[in-house]
Amino acid sequence: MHASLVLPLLSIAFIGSVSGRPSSCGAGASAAPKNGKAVYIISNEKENQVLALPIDASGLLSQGTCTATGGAGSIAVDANNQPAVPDALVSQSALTVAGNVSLPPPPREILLFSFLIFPSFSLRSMLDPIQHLCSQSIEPTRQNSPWSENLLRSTENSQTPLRHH
Amino acid sequence: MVGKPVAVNGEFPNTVAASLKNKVVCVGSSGAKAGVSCSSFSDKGMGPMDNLRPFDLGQTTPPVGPLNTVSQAFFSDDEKTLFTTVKGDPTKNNTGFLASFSVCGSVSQEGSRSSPDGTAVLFGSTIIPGSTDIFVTDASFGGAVLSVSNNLATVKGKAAIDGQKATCWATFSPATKTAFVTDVGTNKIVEMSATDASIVGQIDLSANGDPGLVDLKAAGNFIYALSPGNGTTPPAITVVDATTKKQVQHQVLDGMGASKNAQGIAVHL
Repeated sequence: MHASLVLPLLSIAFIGSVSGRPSSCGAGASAAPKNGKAVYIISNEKENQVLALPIDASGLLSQGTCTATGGAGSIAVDANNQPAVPDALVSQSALTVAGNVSLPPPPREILLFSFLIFPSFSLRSMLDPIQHLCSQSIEPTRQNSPWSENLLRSTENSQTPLRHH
Repeated sequence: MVGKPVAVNGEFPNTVAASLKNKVVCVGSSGAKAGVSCSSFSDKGMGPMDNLRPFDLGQTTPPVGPLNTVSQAFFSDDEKTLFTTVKGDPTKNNTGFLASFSVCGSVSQEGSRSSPDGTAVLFGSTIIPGSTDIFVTDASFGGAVLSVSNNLATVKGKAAIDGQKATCWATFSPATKTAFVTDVGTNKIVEMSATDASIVGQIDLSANGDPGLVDLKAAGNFIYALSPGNGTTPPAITVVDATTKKQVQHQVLDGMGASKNAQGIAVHL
């Protein structure tokens, strides 16, 4: 096995900001649950990307966008020292959304931010030899992306080797 | 990107949780340096990660999994507790546990651990909104509802899923007030009670051809479940209506740079 250990990093990105009013307390407690706006996964490839797929009003997904994290993915190994896939990270919640932060509370009109937080870290051993890249056909949809435009890439070099096995 | 990425104190970070109330983000790591480390965040980015709250897993980097690794970091409903599930290894008589760390502005460095009776390989979990109970999967049998008091967890109810291979991921649906769990080795979603983990029903998805499902998230009336595929079958997200128990979409992720390594899943509400 040829593995290189690289600096694990954590990244945070805005995924939307809208002006809104604080909802009145107590009202709408029995309202139907609200549909999501987008789902996110990480590709967890050597060139790690976050995939964002918008959710429409009927709850369905449409073709989304992919955005490089600037870091690499990670893969656990099994008892035979082979890549433990699927479930490469042996975990739940490999990325998370911290949504609708009101800054600063409590004005009448508040700015709602949402953050997407994900590991862009990484250690990577045994790479999948086939590395897919985000296809060109997906790029034009970026204007409809749930991402805001200022999060498109990490400037941090997460590839600095710390040591080699 | 908001600010710059920050270095994680730990190796093989594999799970992340955020608390808006506390503006704190915590990362679980499963490698040779295993444990949980946290940082503050704001609209300017993240601060430096604090000292690792270590778990003595004796792991390597990358870890030999899935047994004996960190499963998930998540906050309690009131965001006053950070939980982390850690898988044991029944073959080595190594018991898994739920770690709890109090949160008061920052996350306590000292935590408590419980190994609820009958659990062994605690995996993905979900809070049960409006309660102090949590729903956990256990890859060795199925799912359980844990009652948490004074940072210690006891089993309130549990159920084994017949024919399961590794029940590892869970979400709570606001539409049905039940938990839905997935298994990487079987292509179905099992609905379980959020009160005692009894099995409510099973949604067979085998017709879509995926080998099994990993992380999933409920939003609105729907459940979004990721299948990374297996290298032959491409990754896909299956959308299920939680109220009708029917698949409403199978969105294949080919052409998006995803493969069998894909992991997830997060929903922007």
